Amino acid sequence: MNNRSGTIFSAERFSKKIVMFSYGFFLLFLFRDDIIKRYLHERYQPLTVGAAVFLILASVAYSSYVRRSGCGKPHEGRRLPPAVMLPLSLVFLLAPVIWGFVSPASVIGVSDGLLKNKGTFSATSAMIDPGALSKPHSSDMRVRLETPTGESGTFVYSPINIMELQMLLSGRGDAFAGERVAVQGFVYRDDGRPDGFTLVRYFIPCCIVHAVAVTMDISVAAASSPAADQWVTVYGIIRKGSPSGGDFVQTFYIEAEKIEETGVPSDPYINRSFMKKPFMF
Amino acid sequence: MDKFGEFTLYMTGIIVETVPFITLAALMSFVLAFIPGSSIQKIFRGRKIVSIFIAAAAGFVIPLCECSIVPIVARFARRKLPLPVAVTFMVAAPSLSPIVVAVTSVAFAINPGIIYLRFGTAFALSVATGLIFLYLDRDGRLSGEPFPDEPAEMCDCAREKHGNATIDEKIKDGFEDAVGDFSRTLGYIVMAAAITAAVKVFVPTDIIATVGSSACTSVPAMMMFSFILSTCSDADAFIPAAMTDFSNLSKLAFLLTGPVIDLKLTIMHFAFLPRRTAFSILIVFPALVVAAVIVLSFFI
Repeated sequence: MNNRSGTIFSAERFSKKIVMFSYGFFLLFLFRDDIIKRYLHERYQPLTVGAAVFLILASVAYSSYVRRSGCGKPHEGRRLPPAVMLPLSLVFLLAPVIWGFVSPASVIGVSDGLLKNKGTFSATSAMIDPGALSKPHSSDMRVRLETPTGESGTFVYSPINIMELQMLLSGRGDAFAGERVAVQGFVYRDDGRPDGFTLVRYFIPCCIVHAVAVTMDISVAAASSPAADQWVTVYGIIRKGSPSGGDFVQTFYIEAEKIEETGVPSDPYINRSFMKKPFMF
Repeated sequence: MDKFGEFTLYMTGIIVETVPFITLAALMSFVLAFIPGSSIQKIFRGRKIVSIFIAAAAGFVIPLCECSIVPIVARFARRKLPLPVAVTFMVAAPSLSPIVVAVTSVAFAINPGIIYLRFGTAFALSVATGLIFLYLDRDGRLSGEPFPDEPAEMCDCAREKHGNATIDEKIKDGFEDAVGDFSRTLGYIVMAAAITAAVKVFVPTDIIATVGSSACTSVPAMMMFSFILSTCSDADAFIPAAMTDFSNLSKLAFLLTGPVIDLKLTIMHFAFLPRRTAFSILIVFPALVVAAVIVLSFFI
């Protein structure tokens, strides 16, 4: 197709415009309702916004017309692919965007196999704040309950995600034994332990495909033990050792005082780590 | 979630993570349009060995990941950066970038030996790779080969325009380069993301992890694991950090291999670099990693 100014419409260039605009728009769309948190670690989010804006602007500025040269050939700099390939490659390139719009990031759980493929993540450390779990703090949770040992009253729990808790424990665990914490995650059972379960949340170090399972052992009265894959908030006390006894003196677990069954939280994955209060819960 | 749901989630996840970086690479292509190839050639002519060391050291200060570095290096090499220097930078940047240093320091804070080993060895391997490519390219066998998708012939009016471009034309050319690089890289990223997601969903990688727990098979198993997983170099440290049953040397092999050679990168190497160069990287780099691990095993 020619126009008056001696330029030729290029379907390939038009396709590039569509692709750039679609990807730019899709990246911005992911920030709606914070869907982006289900894909990426938060440090990538500013770059993602920048890229989205750039792609949209570039798609607007990029011309679908190519100027005829002195020799009458379009200067694409390479051989053009056969015309039939264009719609096919457009579908191929846009498929992830279409899937992303149709089905924005579902939440992975035990049944998705990631846990068994990855093993568990429990031994890491970072800068430790010795007063990290000391109370009171405005973000602390006050819960009225009767504990399994018969105590009753209002108890104060530090809400913390299990990755940051593991980081604190691996650095100065002894200092935190006996502290009350509230942790979220889903239930994983691999050995039918009647006295407890493993609480799991996924940490996204870069993107969801490389999510790493972070775990914490929970000891609990058999009668109140929730089903596998159920999302829960556990209110309990940090204890040293293994819930089933044994010699693992360096490990810690949480003795549950209350387990609340919940739906999937708005932040199902741990995608940032502050190591200072208030923690990402 | 069903298998297809998992597949699409992982594929889209890889793409969402990668697109900002290839956009950054496209911007770099735009900037490169203003640097004449002759200037690059002049700077590096006759100083190849020093340039290899400088390219390796540049990895510590330039925050680029392994996906964005391939089109950038290809663009530099097309603009007459000596191939061994380009390859050195391609190996060094994703292995030594400031983001990788920060993330590895967090992931291995309780095992700091790995941090020093990772960056010391990665720097040495970057230089060694550059020197080997300098030897392999001694008669121009590698750098003489055309880049994939290079214009077979350019008409005279176009060649003339490229030689004497005005600022406006350079801006236009840079924009064309940037859009071209973005579209092309995106195609390979989508393909690589689909393959990586399929491997993730359908290949039981826990078998590799089981094989890897044996002392004698752990290094090749972890290298293979790294190749298949195609983890982003910015965050790969968290994966071996979680594997408490593996030796430090096998973890090191994982950390050294991933930023340079993996499934997604291999596809990109063959798409952007001359075929012999891409093939040489695939052979030379893993061999160097194995050699480094063997040498280190005498000291650790």
